[in-house]
Amino acid sequence: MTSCVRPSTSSVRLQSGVSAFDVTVSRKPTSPRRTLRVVAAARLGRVCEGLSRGTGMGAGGVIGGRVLLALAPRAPGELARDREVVLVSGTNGKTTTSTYLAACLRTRSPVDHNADGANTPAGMVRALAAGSAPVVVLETDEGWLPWAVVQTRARTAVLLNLSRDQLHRHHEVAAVASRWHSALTGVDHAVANCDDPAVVFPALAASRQTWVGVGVRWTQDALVCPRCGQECRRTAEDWGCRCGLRRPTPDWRLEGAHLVGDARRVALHVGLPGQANLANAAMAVVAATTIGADPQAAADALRDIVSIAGRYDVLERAGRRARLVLAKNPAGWVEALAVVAAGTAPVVLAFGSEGVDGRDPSWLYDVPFAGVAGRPVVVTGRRATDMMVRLEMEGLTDVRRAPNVVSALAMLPPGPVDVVANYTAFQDARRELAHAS
Amino acid sequence: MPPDSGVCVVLVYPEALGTYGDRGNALALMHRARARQIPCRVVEVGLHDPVPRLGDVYLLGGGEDASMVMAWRRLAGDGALGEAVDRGAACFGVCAGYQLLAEAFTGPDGELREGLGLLDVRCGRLPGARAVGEVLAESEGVAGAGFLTGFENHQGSARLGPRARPLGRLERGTGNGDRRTEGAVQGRVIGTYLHGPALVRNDRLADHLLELVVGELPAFDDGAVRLLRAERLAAVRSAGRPWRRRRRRQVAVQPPSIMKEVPVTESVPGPQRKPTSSATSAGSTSRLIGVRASSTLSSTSSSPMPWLRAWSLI
Repeated sequence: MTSCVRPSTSSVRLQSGVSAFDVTVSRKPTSPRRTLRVVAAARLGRVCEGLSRGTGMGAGGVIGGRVLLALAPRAPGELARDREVVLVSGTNGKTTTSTYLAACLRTRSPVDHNADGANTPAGMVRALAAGSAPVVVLETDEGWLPWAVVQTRARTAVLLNLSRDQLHRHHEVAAVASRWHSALTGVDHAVANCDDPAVVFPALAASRQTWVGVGVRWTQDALVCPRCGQECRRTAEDWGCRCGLRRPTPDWRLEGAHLVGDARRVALHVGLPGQANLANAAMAVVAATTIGADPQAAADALRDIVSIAGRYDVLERAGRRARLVLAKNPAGWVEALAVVAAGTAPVVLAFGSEGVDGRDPSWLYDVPFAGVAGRPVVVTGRRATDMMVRLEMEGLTDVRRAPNVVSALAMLPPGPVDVVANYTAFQDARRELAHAS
Repeated sequence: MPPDSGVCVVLVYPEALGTYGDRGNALALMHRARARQIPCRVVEVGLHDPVPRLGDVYLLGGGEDASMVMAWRRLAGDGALGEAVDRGAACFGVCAGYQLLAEAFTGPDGELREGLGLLDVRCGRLPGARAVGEVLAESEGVAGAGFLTGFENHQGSARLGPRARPLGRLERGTGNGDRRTEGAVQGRVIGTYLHGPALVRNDRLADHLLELVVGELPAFDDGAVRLLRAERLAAVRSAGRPWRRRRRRQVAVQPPSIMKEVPVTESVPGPQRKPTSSATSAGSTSRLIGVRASSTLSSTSSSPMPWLRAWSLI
């Protein structure tokens, strides 16, 4: 029985203004064997999605996946059978890298992808059920990677980085690395960042590895060897521990805006700003190459992507051109502030601490905010006071506060403004600006 | 020390003991000292550097299990911290740092290790549940520090001996794990499980540490910090409203910050991790389609509802 194929809504914005879905090639059904239970559960899930959307309760994708999982708990395995499933996980860069990877792989075949960023089981199973493309790219929450490996029997895992994030839930970075290590014994191939020990250790559990040297700016969670607990020493770009765990020789490495392999040099023309996005692009292109894509063709597919799920979108409001930058944890804020520091625009910092943001915002003190000194700064968000105090401790005294992003923009002169926000504040900002315009 | 000679704050091994923004404690001391025109400098001690012996306030932050053991080995071999405290320096340890200051602590492997012995405290492991959440305690060991607010995230407990006093009397949270106390004070040494960072959120506690060095300080009312304290105190109090406390008593006597400790693979959030996709609760779904019923009845042949019986067959 063939499944119902329905287009997924795309959150990728291309330079030309067309949506990514418009350029997706038509899909060829390749997974004909779906049981009646899964098909019926998927249909019921879609009914619930429609109800959720229709009543304005949400986009509906997650509720559809939850219904599907509840009615057919074995659906992930069945829906992944006979398809090339690629899991993309890490603390930062999952959404961008998986979107890039899907774009790269579409140069050779249709691809299904949880482009809405729903990266827990409900979102993943919903993406699996939404189409029947031969390749499925699943952005996977780092805590759910073991589940995804077991359920989808994915052959390839793309492992980006691990650092402190939502410690109220993960407790320790080392614990996540350890669980990844146990889970990845079930994976055939790991495409992994060789500059992060917390990624290298679990990646070694896979049957084979492709190492990519993309660098890491945030090294504060790489002091302790994830294998033995001794000190992991770092010199320039190299690192190693006495237990023998050391930086593998990269098969590919990022050199400026080029990806360099043994016999190839691939130019990366990435539309998104910042070193972190070059690293994401490099990981995606290498992963696509290991699955059979041509490296340069894959890289060229990224050229026109200028916004992913609202990240780096520029929204205009009363003469202020607000560029939205998402930063969810210390490593992410360091990267985001590096992007902001490259310009001179006034800054709005929007900050919350709902569950997905991490309920303990102590980590604000891990982020150096000195880079925004000297330019107008407005803070907003449910935990704006925490941000205000943080900036005061950094020595920034001329900081104003606004009840929301729209009001914050109104306090600033017309022209470009960088709005840096963590997850819920980012979604609030998008909603407010869309509503205001 | 006379005020004009300034304050030297020593941040001990921030790479290993700094998982929860603990550098913020040093920033808070510097901020509050400079607001009184008192020179203040922060010395960060690398893991391979000797700990300076002439600091005024020593800060030890929180760390993951392996980092804590690594810091413990270095500190035990260094010996400078004990000498500095004997000389009259103040010392403030948070979470793992608190445990390191104790007479003994239980490591992540369950082994009892000898601590630095600067607090008459023995730290063990909380049975079963990790303490994660906002904490409220009324200061007891530091006069005038008022209510203490912070966020705890730990597996450790603490049993105080006769020479140590509790830092605070617990109102919300887990603290030392005895349901009554949070942290410990012994002379110029203070230990606590509070992140936040604690000295940012608790300005009078920060002033107490400075006053141990420079004597009585003039008042300094920091409006932003006052607002932050008001917000956090209101938040933690509203989380424990009477009707909720009553419910807790009926169900189980559990402090609000105790969470079930389960593997990360199970403790990851529900599908609303990315909430843009849905705002519908699990409950509403279940009620809508009877998911809970179907999940149990799918393996039951005696279902009274024909459609559920049919569903169990496909």
